[in-house]
Amino acid sequence: MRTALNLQSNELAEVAGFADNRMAPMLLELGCRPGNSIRLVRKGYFHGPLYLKIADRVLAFRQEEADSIILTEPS
Amino acid sequence: MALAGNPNSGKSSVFNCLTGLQQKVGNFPGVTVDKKTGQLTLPSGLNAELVDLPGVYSLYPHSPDQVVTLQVLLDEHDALHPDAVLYIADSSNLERHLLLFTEIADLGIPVILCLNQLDIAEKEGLRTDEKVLANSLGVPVIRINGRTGEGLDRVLSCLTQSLVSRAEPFWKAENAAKPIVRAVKKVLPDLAAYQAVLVAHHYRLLPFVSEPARGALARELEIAGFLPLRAQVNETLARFDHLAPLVRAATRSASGTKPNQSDRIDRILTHPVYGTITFFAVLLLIFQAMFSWADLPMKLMDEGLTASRQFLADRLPASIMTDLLTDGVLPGIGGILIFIPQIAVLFLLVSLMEEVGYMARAVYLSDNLMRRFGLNGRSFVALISGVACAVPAVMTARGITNRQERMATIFVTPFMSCSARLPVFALLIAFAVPDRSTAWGLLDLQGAVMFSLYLLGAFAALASAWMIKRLFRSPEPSYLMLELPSYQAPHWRNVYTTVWIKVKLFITNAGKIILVISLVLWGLSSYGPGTSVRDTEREIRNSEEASLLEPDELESLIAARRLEASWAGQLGHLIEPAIAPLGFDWKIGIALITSFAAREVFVSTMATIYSAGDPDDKSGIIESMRKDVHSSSGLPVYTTATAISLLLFYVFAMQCMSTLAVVQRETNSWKIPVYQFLYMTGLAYGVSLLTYQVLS
Repeated sequence: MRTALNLQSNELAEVAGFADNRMAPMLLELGCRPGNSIRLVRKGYFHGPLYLKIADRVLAFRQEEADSIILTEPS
Repeated sequence: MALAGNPNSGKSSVFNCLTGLQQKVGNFPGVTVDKKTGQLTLPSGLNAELVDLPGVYSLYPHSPDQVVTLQVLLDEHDALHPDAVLYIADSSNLERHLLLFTEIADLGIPVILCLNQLDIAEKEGLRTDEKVLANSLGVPVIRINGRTGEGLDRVLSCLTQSLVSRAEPFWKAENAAKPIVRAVKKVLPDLAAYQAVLVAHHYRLLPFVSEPARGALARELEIAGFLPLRAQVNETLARFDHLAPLVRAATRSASGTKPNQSDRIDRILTHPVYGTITFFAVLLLIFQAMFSWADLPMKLMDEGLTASRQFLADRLPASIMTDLLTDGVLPGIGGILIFIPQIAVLFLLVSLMEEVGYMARAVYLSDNLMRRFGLNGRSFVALISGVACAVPAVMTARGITNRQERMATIFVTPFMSCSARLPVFALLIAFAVPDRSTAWGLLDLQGAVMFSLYLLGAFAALASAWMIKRLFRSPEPSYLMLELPSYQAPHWRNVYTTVWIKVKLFITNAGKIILVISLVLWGLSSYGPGTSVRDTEREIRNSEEASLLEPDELESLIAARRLEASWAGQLGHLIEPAIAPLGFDWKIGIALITSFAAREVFVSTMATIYSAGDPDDKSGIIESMRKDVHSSSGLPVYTTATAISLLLFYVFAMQCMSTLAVVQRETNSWKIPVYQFLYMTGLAYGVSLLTYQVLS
């Protein structure tokens, strides 16, 4: 199962769902919902937060939070 | 009327446009969230009260402070419950911004949808057709510009028409959550369906749900098999499924998403290396500005105060009332006003950072470091500002949404060596540390000691934050889910409204406490038991010694003896046994008590006690300190051990009533300031005790 934490720099993917129900509502409210595009723009140094573009909005998540975003497997 | 919307929707600009500087600011009951209200005059001549609700993403709050929005909208008996809501949405991200809109509309409150930030949306190639949207959403939709005020006249005239709530909810709670609605209604039968769902989720946080009702709700919901997180996710997904096609039908986006200007700026500003360098440059600018820009107004205020004290003392008849006015009330007011330049400068820069969108980047960049100490990226700004002054620094912590991170920030910020410690450090270092260079002339020894005291303060702040994180497990999860808004030019009206509000809040809230404490301290150092102070003065004037002294020498001797005979002097003697193991005598005891008003008072008190006259004459005070001997043993009072112990005491001790006053206001209780005082002063005592015992 690939999560947003496994994204390579500049890789484009699609959100499939959430691994952690506690994070899901907040991720949803910020516009990270299944079907939306997700792209990793850059990673912070020393396991710092991730700079992501989800449905064209810029969002920053910590690694734990990014790890709860499940990506659609490429078919 | 209420103004609602997500964070970053430009809501506060709209509020400032609608109400101007007429707005009233206070706290919502029980929490420290700015409550902003203002009067609206509608075209029909009617007046309406407008309240600016805290920005939230949904009616599912993540922190106690966000509960305010839910409470006001949900409880029909709340004093602020609106007859209609002006909903501000960012047009460049309409789908997400409409989630909260559908929730509010489903509560049965009439809503006017205001499309804001259309200019940004159109720059990104996004066009919105408000007629299509009005049709599909079933509410009035108005294009506005919160920066210029464009379209707000249409909003006001729309408010004069009779507003109705939508007939059909976006999310049909009675079908989708039937067992839950039924369970809640068993306890609270008067609630509508969606109200019932929200009560099921949040009844523990809502003040209008009574204690017995909470117990009953807990039981009923357990029987109904209520899974809150699951239910919330399902509801949110259902709302988005409903919204997405509506939004798609009403918007057209130009093809191609080429990197925009914000992305290009972020390539540098959020870069691990260049971004960090810029971040530190910005912090340095804030720090410098608080010192240099605020310096002149602070000096002018100080001189103005001295002049007006002199003016009144010369003209009013000598009496207790005149003393009270010139030595009690005026310095007390001065003690409040002196903070205003630094508060204004800090909030000018902080709100500029918010306005242009840099604050979110600052949080992004420093989160990695600060989270290890249980702090937040915004804590960084507070800690750095604390090096200038803890009072405005503590006030910036309001922007931190996680309650525990905010409390920890407020708790540790006063450890940062503020500018009021500087004169104390300067005096004691000049006494204890030889003035010479080491390391082949590269390092000035006194400067190096000064610098290490600053480092020690910063270390104490971070170590304490780390301990707090270890000791208290936060009930709220620590997370960083941050929206990085597009960069935009600052809106100056918002900047100066923020500065004005912060200054006003400080004067009206913390100002009262500062005035009371400074009056108490004035009383303690001017009066003594019975007529002891006056007797002392008469004794000296009549003594033989008096005739040998110059007039100003006599005056400073009298001032010294008066202080000794006062309540503060008595207290100094009283606490001497407690502070003797630290190497302090009763004279230092007096200075510790008077400098609770502000640390720098230590220097002027020492000048008075040693009748050195001019407190700016450091060498005069040092001279007297060197000569002073214990009356019993004949040994010098000030040894190097005493001076170092005293230095360390001032690094750690909470010697500032203004900080305590502002912490009381910002945390809305006396608990944190009392603990803070006990912890900091206790730590100072322990460290000084250990140091003195080892060194002497």
